[in-house]
Amino acid sequence: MRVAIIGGGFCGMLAAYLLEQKGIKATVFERENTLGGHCQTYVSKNFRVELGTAFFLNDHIEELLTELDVAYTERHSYRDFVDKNHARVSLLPKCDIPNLIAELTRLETLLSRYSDQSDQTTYGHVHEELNVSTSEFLAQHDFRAIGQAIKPHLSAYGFGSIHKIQAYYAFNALDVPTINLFVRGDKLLFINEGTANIIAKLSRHISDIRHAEVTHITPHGSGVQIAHHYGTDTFDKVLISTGLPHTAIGDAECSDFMRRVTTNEYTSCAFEIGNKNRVTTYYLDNLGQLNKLQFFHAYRQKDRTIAVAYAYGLLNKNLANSIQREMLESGLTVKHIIAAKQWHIFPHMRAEDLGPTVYTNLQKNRGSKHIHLIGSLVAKPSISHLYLSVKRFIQEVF
Amino acid sequence: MNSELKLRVIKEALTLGVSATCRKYKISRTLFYRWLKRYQQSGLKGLEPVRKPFRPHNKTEQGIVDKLFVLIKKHPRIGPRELKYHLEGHGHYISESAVYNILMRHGLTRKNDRVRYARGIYPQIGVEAPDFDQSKSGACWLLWATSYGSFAGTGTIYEFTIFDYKSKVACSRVYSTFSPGHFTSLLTAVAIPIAQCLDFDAKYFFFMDTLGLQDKDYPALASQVQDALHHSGLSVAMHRQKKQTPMPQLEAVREAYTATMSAALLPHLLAGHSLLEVRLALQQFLRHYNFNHTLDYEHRSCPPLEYLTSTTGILPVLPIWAYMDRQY
Repeated sequence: MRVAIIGGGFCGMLAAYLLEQKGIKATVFERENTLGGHCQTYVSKNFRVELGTAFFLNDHIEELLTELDVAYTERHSYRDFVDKNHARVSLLPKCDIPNLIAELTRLETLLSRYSDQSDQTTYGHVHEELNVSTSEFLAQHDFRAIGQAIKPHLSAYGFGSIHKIQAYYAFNALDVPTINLFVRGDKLLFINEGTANIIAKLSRHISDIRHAEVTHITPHGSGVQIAHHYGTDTFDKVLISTGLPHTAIGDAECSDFMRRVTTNEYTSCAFEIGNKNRVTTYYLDNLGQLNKLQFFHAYRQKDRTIAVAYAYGLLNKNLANSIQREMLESGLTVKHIIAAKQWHIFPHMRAEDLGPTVYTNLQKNRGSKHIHLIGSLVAKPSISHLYLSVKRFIQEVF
Repeated sequence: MNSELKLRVIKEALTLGVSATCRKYKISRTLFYRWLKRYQQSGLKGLEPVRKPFRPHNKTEQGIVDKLFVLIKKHPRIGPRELKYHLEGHGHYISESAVYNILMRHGLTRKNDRVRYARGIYPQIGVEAPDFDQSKSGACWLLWATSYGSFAGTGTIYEFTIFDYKSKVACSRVYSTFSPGHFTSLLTAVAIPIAQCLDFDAKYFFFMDTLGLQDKDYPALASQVQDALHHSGLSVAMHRQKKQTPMPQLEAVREAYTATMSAALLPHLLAGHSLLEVRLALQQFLRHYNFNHTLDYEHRSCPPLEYLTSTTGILPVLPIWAYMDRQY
């Protein structure tokens, strides 16, 4: 059997790796010159910059890291929150903390009513009551403290504004255990040599990686034909792990799905800063707003401090300058910019496109289909969820 | 009586009654309360026989030791014999083995360690201990561990504490083993983030000699702690209380804190609660201690965080977890 995988990000590479382990020949198509998707590490002497994914929540993924012999460290990461005058504030007033604890217990029971599926890593049935904006859902059920507590993390996940993103997506990514993990300030998992190291290790086990942009995927007899700029090739199955133009897919169901999927524009800029002990800082007043600095992730490496700042919007000189200006205003000494990158993050559907069975339909008769969607298109956007969902998919379909 | 037996008497007395227990073991109530006080202040170590500080009559003078460190900074690559000759050049006559022993005590027997020391990388040695009373809030931290012995239900209990000398803001954790790693955990999980929230500028760490930390264990502990600090952008000089050197001013602070804490913990230990429950009780105690427990300062009496706000004007902005129970 020959399988093509579109997209050489974490999920695509992982799928190819798992297939090769099973003795199935996998071919990865990646449009960019570099592999890795959101796992992008820029290396200089004495330091590394993570431009995309910076850390993992440490469940399940350790298994893969050990298997690939990727060195990692678990450590606490500290967070600051600043208001519109850049004064340090608490995320929640002290008096609201007992409310938060009570609300989280209430939320857990409430959410368990909506979950129907055994597979907790892939999107499933979308309950109508969850297809409303997160802030509306929270207001309906009188969750005040939770909204405050999750706002910064929603933004950091690339979900945008709490007033826009549907509760369905918000609570799939930030389920109660994950909220608890952030609130308790638990340890997070960092890859010593950078997340790109995982991709490099995966690629060593994959025999066929091609850098070409796929233009058409058409069912062809008992297989699928893939056309790219330089030729065509036929495969038995195709796994799509990245967004493609819906016109490029010759399968009605997948094409229709792809037509509805939208992403958020997200920009990250890495700076070297002069401050020694600044920690990851969230700008509470900007959260979810376009072209405004959301937060920066700061860390020290060998006597140098790196701050990677994130904002919604398209990368251009104005945005990079306004990020830098806001960082200066909040007391940072920005030495220079190291890199900036544009992302299209978090594939999701708008409320009008998100029908109750959009995701469950895809899972029907999986065995007989030739074109499949995998990774963040259909699964919760955290590395450990993606890992489990891809692993489970390969086990079930192949 | 050895310390284990004394602890057994204390446990028995506190659960079954003091007078009866004293009669049973044929000791006076005065003696019993003396033991209890020492246990509450210093844990199991407080029950050990008190030894007089011993100073060998042939101990190398501090002046010569200081001179030796200056020489090592200048010539990190030479060994004890050459160092001895250099010292003779300065008019100090000590033997090669005396030089070696001094190097040994400071973890400098290997050339690489001396080179690191000369380049200003840890271990930092010979830095004068600061004047604790003149220090600012958040500058001088005391670190210690106390052994409480073994309890049915809870098991063996060690308490690890990091304590700011000036403001008396403290954090503690209890573990069932003694390992330098627990200091690092306490530091990275609690002390560093809280210090960062309180705008503390940590300058000195002082490891108190409570557990009889072995000489050979100290370098590992020091470098682990330094790595954790370095990662947070902190540069801190570390001191270690020398064996049998009393530091009454620091010990009084430690004893007062430990006595308050053990009064809160002992009921849980005696009732046979699990380690989990003891940890939660300790967290509740710490919140009470830092936020509401009135302590005496030079000119006022107030809780530690209030003292901090009134002297520095900093309103503490603490993370959510500082107000809730969390397991570790």
